[in-house]
Amino acid sequence: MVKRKFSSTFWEGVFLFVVSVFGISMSFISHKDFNVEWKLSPYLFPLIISFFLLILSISIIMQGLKDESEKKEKSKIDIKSLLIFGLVCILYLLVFNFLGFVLSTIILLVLLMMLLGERRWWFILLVSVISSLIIYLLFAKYLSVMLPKGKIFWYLGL
Amino acid sequence: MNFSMLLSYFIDFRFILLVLLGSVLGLFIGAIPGLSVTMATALLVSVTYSWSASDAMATIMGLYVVGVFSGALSAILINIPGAPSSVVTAFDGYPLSKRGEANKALKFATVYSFIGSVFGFVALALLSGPISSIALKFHPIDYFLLSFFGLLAVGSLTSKSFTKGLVSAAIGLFVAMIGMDSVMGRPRLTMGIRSLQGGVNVVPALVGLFGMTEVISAIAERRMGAEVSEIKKEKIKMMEMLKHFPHSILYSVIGTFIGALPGAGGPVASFIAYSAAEKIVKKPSRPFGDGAVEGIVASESSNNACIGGALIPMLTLAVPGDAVTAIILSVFIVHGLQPGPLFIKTQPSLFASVLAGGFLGCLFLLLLGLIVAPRLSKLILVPKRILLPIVTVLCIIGSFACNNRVFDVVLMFLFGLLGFVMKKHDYPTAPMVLAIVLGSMMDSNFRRTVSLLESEEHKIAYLFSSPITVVLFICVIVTLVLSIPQTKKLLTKLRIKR
Amino acid sequence: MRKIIVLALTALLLLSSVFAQGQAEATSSYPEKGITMIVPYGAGGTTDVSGRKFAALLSKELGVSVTVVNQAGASGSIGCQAALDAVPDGYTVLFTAESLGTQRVMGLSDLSYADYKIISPMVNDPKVIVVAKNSKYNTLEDLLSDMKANPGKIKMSYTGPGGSGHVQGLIMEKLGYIPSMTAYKSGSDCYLAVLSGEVDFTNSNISTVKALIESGDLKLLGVSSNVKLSIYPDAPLFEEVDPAAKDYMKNAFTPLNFLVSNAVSDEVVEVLRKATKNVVESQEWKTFVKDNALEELYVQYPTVEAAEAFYKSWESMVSWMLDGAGVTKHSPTEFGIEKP
Repeated sequence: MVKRKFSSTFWEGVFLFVVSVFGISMSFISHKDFNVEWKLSPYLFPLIISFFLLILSISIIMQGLKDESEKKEKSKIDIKSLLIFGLVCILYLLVFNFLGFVLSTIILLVLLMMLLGERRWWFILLVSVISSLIIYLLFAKYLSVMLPKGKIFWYLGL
Repeated sequence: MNFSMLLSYFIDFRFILLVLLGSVLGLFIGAIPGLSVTMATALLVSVTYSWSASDAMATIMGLYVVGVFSGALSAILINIPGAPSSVVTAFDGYPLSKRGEANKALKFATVYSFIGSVFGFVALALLSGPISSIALKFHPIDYFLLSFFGLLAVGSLTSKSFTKGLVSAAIGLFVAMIGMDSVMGRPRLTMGIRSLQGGVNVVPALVGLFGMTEVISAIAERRMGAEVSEIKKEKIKMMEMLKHFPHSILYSVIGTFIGALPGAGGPVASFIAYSAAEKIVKKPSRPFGDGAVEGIVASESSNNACIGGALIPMLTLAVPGDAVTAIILSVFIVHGLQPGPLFIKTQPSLFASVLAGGFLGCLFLLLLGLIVAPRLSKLILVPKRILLPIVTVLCIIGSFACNNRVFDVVLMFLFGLLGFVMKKHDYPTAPMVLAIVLGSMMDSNFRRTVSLLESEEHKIAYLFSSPITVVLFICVIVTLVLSIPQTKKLLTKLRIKR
Repeated sequence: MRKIIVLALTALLLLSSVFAQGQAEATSSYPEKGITMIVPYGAGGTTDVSGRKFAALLSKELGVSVTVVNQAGASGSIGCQAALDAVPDGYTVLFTAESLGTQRVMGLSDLSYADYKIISPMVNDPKVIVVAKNSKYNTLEDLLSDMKANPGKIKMSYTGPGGSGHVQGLIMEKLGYIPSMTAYKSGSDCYLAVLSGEVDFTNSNISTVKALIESGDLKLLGVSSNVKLSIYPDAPLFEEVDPAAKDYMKNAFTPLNFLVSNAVSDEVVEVLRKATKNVVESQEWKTFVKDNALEELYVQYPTVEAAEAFYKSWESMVSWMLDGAGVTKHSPTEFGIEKP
């Protein structure tokens, strides 16, 4: 038996199919827990949408089966930079409350600009320090967004 | 309303200055993705508390009018709509700036935002009575049909594959279902996550799907230079500019009317106006979705006309038409005024100050737009390796600010990732934003209708007792039938035969 | 070059202002900097309006800015949680409505009044029964007797499960008047449905509908409270029409409260209590209360103990009523809430 190679469209369809089946079963289970008629149920709409998605996913799967021989020119994805970007963002979210907005944002900006290929270190520092301070003042002081000041300063008794 | 009262505000230097102050604030706040006019108005209320009511109104109206417009700036220049109502502007605006014609796009956006806002305020001044009495006749079933009709705009938002557009909309509807259901108070699709109970705010979704997606795909494709190397300097003739005026009046009517319906507002109006534009404009300057100025005209004139519309139910019935007017309502109450049906009669000078502030705001919109926009358009010459980190920070701030919690920032990043995957596989993101905006309106009004029907004997007769329902129902059915590929084929066949 | 110098100067300025801020925090004696007041509902609602008015007067009293931040969502639970999560230095305070008493049984959060120190109960926005101007009902008796004759046929709008309008509907059901209830998004949507004729009546807050009663678009039929309205002394109380309602009307239905997290020190609480007392006795606040026909809860429950007893009784009555209607997620017994 020859292993068939399916197009990416096919797999998209399968993924959506799984999502819609999940949606349908979730709606039924949640509805059962809650004692109302279907026509008034909060889970009626999720159910309808799931069914709709189910039909769409089947049509996409069919499409995927049809043009399996597609030869799509794939643009190269720079996976390494992408992963580093993701990591930096996760790190940022982790230290956000602890270091406070200003410190963590300066670090984020420095890392991102380095990642994106800016090499003038004085420029990087200048832009990141100034823009985070301006943004902080603008938002926290004048627009009273409750940006975290940083628990670290509180612990240090500042 | 007294005309001389209105005039007295136009020559009051202090009043004009306050409107200008609000307008400048609005220009910046509206342009920053995620920072909403609503938020800024709420803050102004605290600041203007000790001022007189008319001074407060001047600043707020300036901010409101210009803030709604300036969402278009970031939509056109960096493809990140400042607010949901500018999503449609990005559709044609960004392709134009990629061709180096950012100036042209900005000019059109400015001029037609101006026309739309003026139209809205004229309607507010002259027709507030009739419009509010029609808006009052909209029942839950009509809201349901209207949102359904809005959702059908997906067809005009998808250039490549209709199925993929529908998938995007369906996922958006799922997102809209997340959280506390507004009718029964049951959590839905929260998967046990407490923070999701309040639902997914549209701001992190919008900022993520547009802003973050842009950042991620630029990184993934290593596009680090500037988007365009030079901006074309092109003189636009007055005639060419005003050619779209008759159409823009239609979009303004749509905008004013949808604005006057509590809960609908800018995004719905601009989507509906855009799909109307696709049907009535036979020969656009460029294809829709690829830089048609007609698309910008539709979106901008309708979303700005919403302002005047949204003020109508607020001033006549004390029912806010959108989030900003809800805050203006509280300004009145904090100042010891009672908005309601008698407001325009008992407080003519304050009503005049709302109108004067609005008209002056329109003027400043035109001025600021024409002066600032060309300078701002240099933004697309900034290399991405510097622009993107700053855009990232703005995305973070914008999503954080909408509810002051880190959870929304996490959501924003997730939406960014989703948007990137969708973009890679040719799924459009605009239908998703539309569906997030419309989803809960559709769902809750549908079930409200069912609940109202419970106690009726003749259900069908009750449902179609209003002419508005019948008209909307026919509109929905006709659009639905026309968008099925088979009927399209049939129609062309018939035409050939004839 | 000039640009760089300008930038550097701005940076210096910004830095110095940030550090100046930091130094100020080090010394003690509250309050020294701006206070953030969380209102866990959307801007423009009844809680928000009272909160903003109060914040403005409190700011005058304390001599520092008091900024209102709206953190809406999930019946107020998101904002209430945020007030607990903030650094407990007294610079984040909470101004909220009654939903804190029902969040646990409704399955919204684990929060209750027990997690907060009460600065003061504030005001109550009395519930009233209104119909459209061309309605066939002219008195509360008309409406109630028609409801008794046609159970489930008279339509009523309310603001959603667990809300004060819902509680009113449930009380009516307990008394044998069965309305057909439909949930709307906000208080203004509820009376809009009355104006447009979608529903027959609604239980609204007086401050919300006052202007429409004045203009004659809505008719005021009755008041769901044990105190008559100061501005409409002719409107009958519910218990005057049906004496059986008396037991249900003894608690205010929509009490607004001024709270801080339990972790905030007692000195700070004292400062805030004193300032609040001065504010509510000021002429400007009194005018505001009168203009909006609010009931003054700090007069009814002047001590902290009285306020705590009031919240406890409120929590018990409403939780059990919602539980009886089958809309709760958890039984009140799980949280040790006694039956009324």
